[in-house]
Amino acid sequence: MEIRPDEFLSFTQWLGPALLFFLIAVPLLTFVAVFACFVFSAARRGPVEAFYAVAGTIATAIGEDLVATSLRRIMAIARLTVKESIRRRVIVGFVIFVLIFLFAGWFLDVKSDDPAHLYLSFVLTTTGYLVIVLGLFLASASIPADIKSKTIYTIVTKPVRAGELVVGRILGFVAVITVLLALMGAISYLFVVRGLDHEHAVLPDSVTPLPPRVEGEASPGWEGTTTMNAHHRHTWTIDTEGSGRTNRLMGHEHVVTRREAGTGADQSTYELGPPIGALVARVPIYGQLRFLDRAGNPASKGVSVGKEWEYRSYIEGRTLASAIWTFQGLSERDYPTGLPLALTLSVFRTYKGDIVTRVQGIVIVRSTDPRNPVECEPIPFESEEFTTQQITVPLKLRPVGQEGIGGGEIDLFRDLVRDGEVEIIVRCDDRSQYFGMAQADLFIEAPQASFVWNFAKAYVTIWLQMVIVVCLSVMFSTFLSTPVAMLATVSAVLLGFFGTFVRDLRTGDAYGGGPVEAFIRLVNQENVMSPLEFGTGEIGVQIVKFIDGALLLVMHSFSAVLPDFSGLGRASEYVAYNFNFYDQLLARQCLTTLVYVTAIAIVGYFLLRTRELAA
Amino acid sequence: MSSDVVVQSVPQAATESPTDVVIETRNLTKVYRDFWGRQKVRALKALDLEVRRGEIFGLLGPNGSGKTTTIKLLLGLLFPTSGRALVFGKDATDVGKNERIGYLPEESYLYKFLNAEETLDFYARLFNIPAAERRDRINRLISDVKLDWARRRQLKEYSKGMTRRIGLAQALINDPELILLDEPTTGLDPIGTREMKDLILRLREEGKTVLLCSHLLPDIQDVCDRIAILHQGELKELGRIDTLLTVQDETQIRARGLSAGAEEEIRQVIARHGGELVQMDHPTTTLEELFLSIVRESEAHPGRRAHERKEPR
Repeated sequence: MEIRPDEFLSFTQWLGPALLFFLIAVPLLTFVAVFACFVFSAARRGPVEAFYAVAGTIATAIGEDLVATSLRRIMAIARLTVKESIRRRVIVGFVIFVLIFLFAGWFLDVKSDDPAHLYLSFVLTTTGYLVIVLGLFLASASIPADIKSKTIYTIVTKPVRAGELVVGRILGFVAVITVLLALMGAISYLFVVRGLDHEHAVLPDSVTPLPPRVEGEASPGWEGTTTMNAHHRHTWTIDTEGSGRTNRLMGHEHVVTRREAGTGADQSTYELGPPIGALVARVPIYGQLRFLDRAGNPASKGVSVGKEWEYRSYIEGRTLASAIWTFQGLSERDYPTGLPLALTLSVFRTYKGDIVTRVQGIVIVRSTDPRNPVECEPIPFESEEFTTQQITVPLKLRPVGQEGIGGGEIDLFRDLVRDGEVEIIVRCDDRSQYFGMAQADLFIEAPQASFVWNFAKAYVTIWLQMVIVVCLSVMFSTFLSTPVAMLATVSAVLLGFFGTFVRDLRTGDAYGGGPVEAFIRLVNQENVMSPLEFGTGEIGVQIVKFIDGALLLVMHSFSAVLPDFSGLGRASEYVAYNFNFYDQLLARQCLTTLVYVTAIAIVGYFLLRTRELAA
Repeated sequence: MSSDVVVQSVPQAATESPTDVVIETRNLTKVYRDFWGRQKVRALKALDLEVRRGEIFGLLGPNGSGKTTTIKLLLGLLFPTSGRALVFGKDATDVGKNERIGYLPEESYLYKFLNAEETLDFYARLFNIPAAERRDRINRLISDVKLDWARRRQLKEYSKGMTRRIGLAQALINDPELILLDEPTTGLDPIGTREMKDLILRLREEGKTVLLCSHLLPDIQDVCDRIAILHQGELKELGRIDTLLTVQDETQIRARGLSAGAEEEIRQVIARHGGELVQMDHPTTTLEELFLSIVRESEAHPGRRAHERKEPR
């Protein structure tokens, strides 16, 4: 799984720049909004009256409406919204959900190598989309329906503030969908757990004693195979102590236990436990990555091997080129059996090499103490491409270059880790072959977190997305009719979702150009890499680029202040890949959503208040 | 609220102090525009009105004359193009005034999925009413509008008259000082109409101010103290209903005990024949006649105020 650089930031690291952006963006947007209102008003009534109108509206908003806002009225409207949603058969959305799940089994690939990923991404995507669509339909219909049926006349002629109406509506819809989402989450959890659950039996004939490690010794245990269940069959081993495991297959394994039935070992029966390891929340500890070039000098990144995707950069084999990760916050208590490293490397070959053995690499653990940079002897490994490989750094290591002194061992935590900090160096050990890596490609697997809580976190982010969609829908529906409000909400969500893509288009990191250029390329069936041809000469292309530049600027400006929906969808990816979603990231997203909700509600208040409801 | 001043009789307009002006409009004008700001309809032209505490004021006019526009302007549902609308001395767009007013819309625009109790409970929660009093009021209002038997039925099952009555209950939930009724009797049968009128008169006895608009003349004639007649957005007539319906330049004589021959002469000299003069005053017209004459005159001479005389205000 690819991890974005900004996701490494802790809450406090993120808060500073985010607050700065907030403090710049909010006054700027407020000014733009107030000025736009003034211009709009001045066009109708002249500048002087417009000034008083705008100033009066703001003064009333703060001086009267904010002060008079009552929780009782908000709750009354929220309750009404809940009743309305129930009587408008919100349950239909839930029935669709259940139906999808009833028949999902037909479409999910039962022979997948990673069924947990398949099941998790299926339930998270389904509930995510369904809940957002539900929010969109429910929330964008309410206020326009009230205005159309004129029921709003009886409400706004009571002492109801526009803000109370907006917030009450939002709260009501959020309450209804929260209940549905909680139900969906519970059903999804059961669906995943039950879907992945299966049992194997041991094939009695397959049980054979393990061959002894040294000729003449007793057999260290037994091995065997299991029955074919859920489209797969495990092999297993068990030692004489009676503890055994199956091999890891389709993302899980089983515990093997022995039941003594008679006197001899061959009289025993073997039993397999439920699948374990399929639903976990791995906690990766990421380090800071830096590079050394082939001469051993610090470099900002490795070399490029000419791949378009610049996520990874490469180091050359058999040179001093190194990738160095600095880890912090390690303690012996968390890792009593050594440091479990998870390494995902990309390999770039300049020649075919030995076809049997893979490209070799070494891992070195080094102290960060500048006076005494102790490092251990290289731990060799064979690179496994396309998968994540596990390398455990043992607690007792041999120091490099100091064999004479003490002749002995150094302790990982006593001698190398200083104040919880240590460096892990990766080098490629084959001449003219390259290893490619990014910051997230090497991590230490900390003790696992709770899967249920991780699963819940994915639902919390789905909830956050739903809340923003509900707020946007209610806000847009204060001045637009239902279909237009829905369209506006969808546009805002899409622009928020593709915000980074729009930015990349502007900077040229993404190819294909802006809307006009893309359209021309579509019609002419040109690919995105070839230079644009339009009109007779250079001037046509210039015009297109100019228009696109302006359009992209506008789109980029909008997307910069819209909620980052692709970021909010990240928790689902983390969970589907069995990674623990950072609590800090969740806290960041919660805070950001709260800010958006507040801002959208304020905008909704002004739009509804300045609207002539009976016009 | 104080009802001591107004309970006994119709207020004497001339002696009212300015603080008793509940509704005041000054030069109130409303122009409906389309999306591009182009003028579509001039719905209300420079309306000046004053409604005083404790009176029942009727807005009368044919369809499209600006009655409902006036009420919507007074409620802040519409914003004036120019001029001002003041309710309790505050701008009509001020939400705070809503604490003291009740509004029955043209049709009862209520949530059809709620039952009578839920409806009143919802609207009551929009006001600062303690929970115990809220329950009392809901029960009292439901029995006042005679819907006890249907209090748990959803409003979508209600007949038009029942909807109208629950709409009225909704308008009275906050015990308002000022009640605006838009076409209160439409859709009601004769008995329902009678009950509605009785209720309006009872509201006046309680010291409340009522502004109602209607094109049903008998309703206006029966209950209103003062009326304003609007036509094509202009104020055509304004005054006390008894004054307006008095025909000033005619004299009506009712006599008894005259012979058939004398009746012939009486047209020339009444007094000399010594008949007993039973009644001698100005005849009253019906509101219907007044209304029709104003509309006819207005259409003949647009822009002029009907009748030359100035009624006492």
